[in-house]
Amino acid sequence: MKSLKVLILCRPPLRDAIESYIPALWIKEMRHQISISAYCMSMDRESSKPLIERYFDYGVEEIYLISDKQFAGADTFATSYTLYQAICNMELDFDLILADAVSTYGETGHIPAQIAAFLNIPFAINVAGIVLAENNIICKQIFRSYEENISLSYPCLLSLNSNVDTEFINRNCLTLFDIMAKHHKEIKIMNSEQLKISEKQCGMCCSHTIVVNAIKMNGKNKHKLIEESRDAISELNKLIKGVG
Amino acid sequence: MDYKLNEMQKKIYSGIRNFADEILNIEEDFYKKWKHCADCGVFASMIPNRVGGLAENFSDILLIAKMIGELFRDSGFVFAINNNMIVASYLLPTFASEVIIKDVYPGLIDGSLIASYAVTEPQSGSDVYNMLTKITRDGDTIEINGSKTYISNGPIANIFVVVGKNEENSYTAVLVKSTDAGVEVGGEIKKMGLEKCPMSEVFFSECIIPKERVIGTFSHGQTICNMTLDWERSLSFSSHLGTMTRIMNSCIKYVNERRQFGKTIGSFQLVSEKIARMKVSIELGELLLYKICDMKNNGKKTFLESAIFKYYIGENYTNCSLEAMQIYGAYGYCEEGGIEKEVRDALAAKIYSGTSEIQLDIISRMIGIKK
Amino acid sequence: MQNINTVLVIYDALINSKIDRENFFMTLCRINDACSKTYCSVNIELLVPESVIGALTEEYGELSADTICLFRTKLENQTLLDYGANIFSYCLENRPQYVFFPSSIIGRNLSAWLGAKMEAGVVADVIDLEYLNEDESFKYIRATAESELLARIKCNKKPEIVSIRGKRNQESNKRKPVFKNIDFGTNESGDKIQIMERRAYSIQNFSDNIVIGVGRGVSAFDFEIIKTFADMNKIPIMGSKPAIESKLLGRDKQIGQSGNFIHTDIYIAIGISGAPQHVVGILDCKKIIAINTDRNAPIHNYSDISILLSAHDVFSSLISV
Repeated sequence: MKSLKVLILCRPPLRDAIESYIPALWIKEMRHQISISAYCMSMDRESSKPLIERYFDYGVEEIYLISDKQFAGADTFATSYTLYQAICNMELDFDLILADAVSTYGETGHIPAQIAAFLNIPFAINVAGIVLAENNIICKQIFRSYEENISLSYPCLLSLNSNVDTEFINRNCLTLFDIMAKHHKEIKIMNSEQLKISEKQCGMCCSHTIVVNAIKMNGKNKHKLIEESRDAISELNKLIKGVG
Repeated sequence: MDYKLNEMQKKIYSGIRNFADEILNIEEDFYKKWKHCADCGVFASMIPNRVGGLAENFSDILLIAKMIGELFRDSGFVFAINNNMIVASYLLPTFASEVIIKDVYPGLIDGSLIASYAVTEPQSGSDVYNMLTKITRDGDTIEINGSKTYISNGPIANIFVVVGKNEENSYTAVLVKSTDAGVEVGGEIKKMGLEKCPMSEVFFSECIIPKERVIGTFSHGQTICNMTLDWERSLSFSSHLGTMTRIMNSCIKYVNERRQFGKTIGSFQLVSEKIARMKVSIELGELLLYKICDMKNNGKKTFLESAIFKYYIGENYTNCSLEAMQIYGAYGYCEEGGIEKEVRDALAAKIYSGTSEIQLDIISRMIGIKK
Repeated sequence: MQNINTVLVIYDALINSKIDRENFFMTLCRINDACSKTYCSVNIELLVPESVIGALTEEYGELSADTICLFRTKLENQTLLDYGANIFSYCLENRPQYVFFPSSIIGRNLSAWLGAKMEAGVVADVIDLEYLNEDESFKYIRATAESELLARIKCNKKPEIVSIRGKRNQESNKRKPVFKNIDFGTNESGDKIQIMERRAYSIQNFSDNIVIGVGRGVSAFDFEIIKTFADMNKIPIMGSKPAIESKLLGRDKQIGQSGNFIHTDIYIAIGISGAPQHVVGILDCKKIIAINTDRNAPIHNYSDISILLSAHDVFSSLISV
């Protein structure tokens, strides 16, 4: 394969830090091996534009921000379904979808697997290593009790582990060469009308879960209060010896 | 004039911050740090775009110098970068020929070349033009004889810009390579601070170089030297302004956590006042920096402003570090805290690039006080 | 006659390991407790690999369920996609109203994938659940990233597919299971996915007796003092999200909704404010000691012992003792 078309499904970055741009780091990493044509899609409010624009600095060619009042109140099913419809209706072509492992707001980790299900493509989760082979991609998945290397054919989706080591960051983090290059690119904001998504197919109408109410966590009724250093030392020593 | 970072400068700041946090500040080895800086584009960002760098104007360079002063933890390493940049960001782009530029800039940008500016001699410190180093013309070659001392980056530099007296009783600036015959670098001079910027003597004994290595014209040396000193004051002290910001932020965090007599030490006015004064000096320093950037971008000379800036920042940077040590108490005096290193690094700021006393002398003459 | 609703609880690993079995059992404890109310008319059905049931029973005794379905297909040959597809086929055939997974990377992803395939309601990372007889549905409780409160969520579509965080012990009466064997036949991966190598880790045990957690209120300097004490006493250190973000600790040491849930005898929370996102991860600890100078910090609402002193004062004294 001479080149790869990659769609990044990025979570809206909450802050300007390297861990908010893991898929972009992987794009730079893969560019060492193959020519990449990358574009990016995110679903969020327009106010997230300045942080999402950073993806241009990482060499992404187009960024689509899916934003509409109708999308408000979407649960993970509705969010994934909206993104899936956007991908289909825009006829976006891709070999590979890269997604953050957890979303910014709910931290559920649902979106990548749901999109893979809707698109009916193979997927890998918590990916910590990628090797590009001729007609397939080899990924290292990391789980609680084991890790495995699997080979996937294209098109496929990878949900990326958010832990990356220093060496990886060294090789791929944004340099001043990237930042100070002239990009002259604009994020394309797409609403439901442009994406041909009806009200019933998104937002609260399409959600299958609802937040009933918010509650306070139950605390403990009584506890022991210590304000003297001597008492604190004695109590902690007693507890540690008791357990040990 | 806008007194805050524009959108691009904010992006540069966060890029440098991420680079410093994730890569630079956790590396100890000087050459690895240098390579990281080159790969990240730190050097390119402080080199004008007309010689292959990324900087479009003087603001870019001076504001980036301030950012690295704040975000790179090792002030000695920042000092080494700035000594390199005195040559790379201003002196050579302004005065050197295309031949020299083509020769050295790829290496200055990719970090394979380190530059040093060699002016001071044992008998000519403040009295900089009392030089004994001789630069003579002989047909197609130039010969240099003499010695320079207290040369920052001396032990590690690949290229030196050397200023000496010529036979016409004026001054010449030339580019000398460390590999040229007749160049000898002395042993490292141990200093009180700024350990990551090594310093040495450099000796020139019948050092013959081609005439193409003359920077500017043969008698241009004094102008080059004056203007480079002006730039040096703006550049290095922009970094020190950034370092003052870092020291102040660290003090704020400390006084909000450290508790004595049942409350945070920041609650005591004698402590909080020290930090408030740091903020005052930083704010005033920034205003002057923006003025200097604006004047330089518009082609105006800044001899007076850079002398004021150098004096003000040199004095306040030193005070800031000493007050930080006082705030941190015994912990500030110990090596572990990192504050005593800030003090040792700061103290030289009242000395190099012309002492504080010399700056006051320059200022007094420039405002019309006759000698 | 009232319809009996089925709660299908699915084993969430493709390897037979102690930590996965422990996690599955703790999830089952929480589900059993929620389903133990007399008005809750659900059947609990487990879907477990045949190769795992022996070790599970040996470690935890007879599992409390109405039915245990043992699938005989070899785990090492299953990709995640195969496993998901087999569960999907099973659900299409048997139509459980509730499909629960332990909350793990696999559990959350499989629940999401299945939810998309079945157009179901999906809830992630639930810390508690309560059955509502009038609705014949559950309400699920989880922390939210944005708020100081917990969210109570319900699904408006069946099946309800949920990943659930476990708890230490089951307090309710046990059910006695009937066993049945099933075979998984789907090979969804085909040649799209191939397993090249699968490697088990040596056990990483979060059932330590005592854990220290550090938070935003711990400076780098204090952290060194705490670390000295922890190393002397062989106590692991973990942290809240702010401690991870300030790089005091790696991400694998995060306690909370988006990290680990711990079930220790003693948890010492130092400089931790007590945001719900963190507290949900420690509720199952037997005793919580909060060290925080701010007497108004929410952590004191959840602690058994509150020490209103600075970490520096406490731990430098402890080290010198």
